[in-house]
Amino acid sequence: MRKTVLIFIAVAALLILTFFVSVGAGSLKVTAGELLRGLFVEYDPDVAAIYDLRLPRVFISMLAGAALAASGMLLQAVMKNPVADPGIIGISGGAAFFSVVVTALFPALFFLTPVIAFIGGVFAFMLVYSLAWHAGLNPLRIILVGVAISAMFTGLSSAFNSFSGGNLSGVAAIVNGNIAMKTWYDVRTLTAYAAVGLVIALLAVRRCNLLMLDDKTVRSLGVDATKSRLAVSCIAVLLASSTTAIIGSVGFLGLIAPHIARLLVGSDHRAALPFSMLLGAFILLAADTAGRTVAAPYEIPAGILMAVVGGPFFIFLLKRSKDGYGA
Amino acid sequence: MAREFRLEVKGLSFWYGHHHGRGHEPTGRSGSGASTASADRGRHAAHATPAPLVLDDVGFGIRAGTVTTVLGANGSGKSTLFHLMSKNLPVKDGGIFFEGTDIRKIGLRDYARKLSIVHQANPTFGDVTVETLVSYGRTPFLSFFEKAGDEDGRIIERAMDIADVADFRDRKLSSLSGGQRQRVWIAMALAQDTDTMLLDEPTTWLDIKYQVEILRLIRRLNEEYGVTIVMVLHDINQAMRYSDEIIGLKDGRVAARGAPEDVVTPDFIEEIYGVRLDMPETAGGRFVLQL
Repeated sequence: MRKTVLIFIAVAALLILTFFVSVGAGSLKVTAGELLRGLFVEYDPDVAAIYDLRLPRVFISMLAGAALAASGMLLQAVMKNPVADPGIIGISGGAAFFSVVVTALFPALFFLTPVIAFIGGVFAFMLVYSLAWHAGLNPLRIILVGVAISAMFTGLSSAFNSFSGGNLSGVAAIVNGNIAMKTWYDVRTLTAYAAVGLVIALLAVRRCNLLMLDDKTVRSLGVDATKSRLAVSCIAVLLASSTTAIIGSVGFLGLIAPHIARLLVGSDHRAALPFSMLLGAFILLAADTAGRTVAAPYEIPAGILMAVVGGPFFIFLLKRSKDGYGA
Repeated sequence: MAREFRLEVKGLSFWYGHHHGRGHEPTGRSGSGASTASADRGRHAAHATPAPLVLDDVGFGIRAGTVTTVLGANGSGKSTLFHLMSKNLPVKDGGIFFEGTDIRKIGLRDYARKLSIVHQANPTFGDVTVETLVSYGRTPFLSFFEKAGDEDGRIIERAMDIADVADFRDRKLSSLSGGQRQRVWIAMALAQDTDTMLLDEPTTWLDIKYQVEILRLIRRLNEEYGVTIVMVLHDINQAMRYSDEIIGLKDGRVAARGAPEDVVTPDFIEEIYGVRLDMPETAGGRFVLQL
């Protein structure tokens, strides 16, 4: 228990540190002190520019990271599959494609993008679930079908991007998983959907713990396992889809964060889920900050950085987990 | 009307598949008088595909305070019967009544408050501790947001004491032996604090020492705590030794039932399992020689 609290504090401290590094890093440089003074005490043109350009991006990274990590952990609980991830099983791909279509064809409906992304996510999820169903759900089958569905949607999105001559920056950003050029409007949109999802997810932690049991045992405790799995899946899809609508597909985060969380604080969702959110926020913010500093003035989108780091990690997990759950 | 039975099964038939009616005879049955299909069922028969009956007109009553064991060979329908009684499969034809109420009319949650179930082959998962797992037994009594209170805590403690798992309450389930794990699952069911418990092959896959340990625990639950027990067992001798009543299933029908000493005979074993075994008298009673 004490160890868990210490680990929470350590990661929270890391997140705050990364926050200030991220806000300070770039062509305009400010220290934490200058930043706080510029924000709350007196006007500073540098800080004002950072407030408009860099802060939305920082908040979106944190919120999206938390949402993707939570989504991954919920999916892993629902499917009792340690390698489930919204990116790998195609939810992000479906959400991204639907977002791309809306952004390209009906730009006036931009404010509905998260809702349409959610429909896309649900569609992909149902597709994977029904195609992988073969006398029960085999974890490996879900991954295999998911990879195929994900590839198909990613291909469709890229094709769409090409039709439009790559001129629509909104479309390209979703395809690449790019957090650049975000505004406070995007922050508010993401907050409206993802923050709600995060709160609901936190309320469902005890139900997630129960879902680690066999369905028949869950039922023997008076809980309809199927309905619960469906409800928790919906939260996971909402989190992943609304995030994808804003920042595009970012793979593997939903895999890495929950896994490290379970290693550090155990698999009880009461600790693992909030910790996973914290860790997800930290990892995506760190990835985005690294992406825009290592090759400055060029930028490596966070989605691409996550894929480069996440791919090997995924292989490592696959080799480690035979069929057991998690750590 | 006084309730005669804690649990009563009446005219229970079951078949897998979605179509209605039971228009065809189950395959592989030498049936005399097997057709109890009423006119009502006959109406559906015309457009029903052949479905082998897994259970065919099964009926029995379980008295409060007894230990009842269901015996039967693989494919006799005993697992299906167990899943019907535990509300894991929908009752299609006939009925199961808990204290006189059709279990179809009892919600999952209400059922879990009255009857606890220990399933077979519960997989281990994650790193959940014994105490946490036992505490899940309080789920049917708590609302979605409610945390276990003091009274729940006392019931959880009591359950762990009875099942003798309190000593390793902080250990992870994955670090326990098969016998210890089974006691933890029983403790979880005990935390539901019910008067009736169903157990599906609670001794299968365990070493003989743990088999005896589990059966003694079950008998103690019945004798000391008055829990009505219904279980499915594999071993005939164990069933005889630890039950008040035996129900023998054969091809989805009750072949025999009654007190073990009356029911279990070489003929009974031959009918149920299709093999002739000796039953020598010993100082401790009659036993089946399983060779």
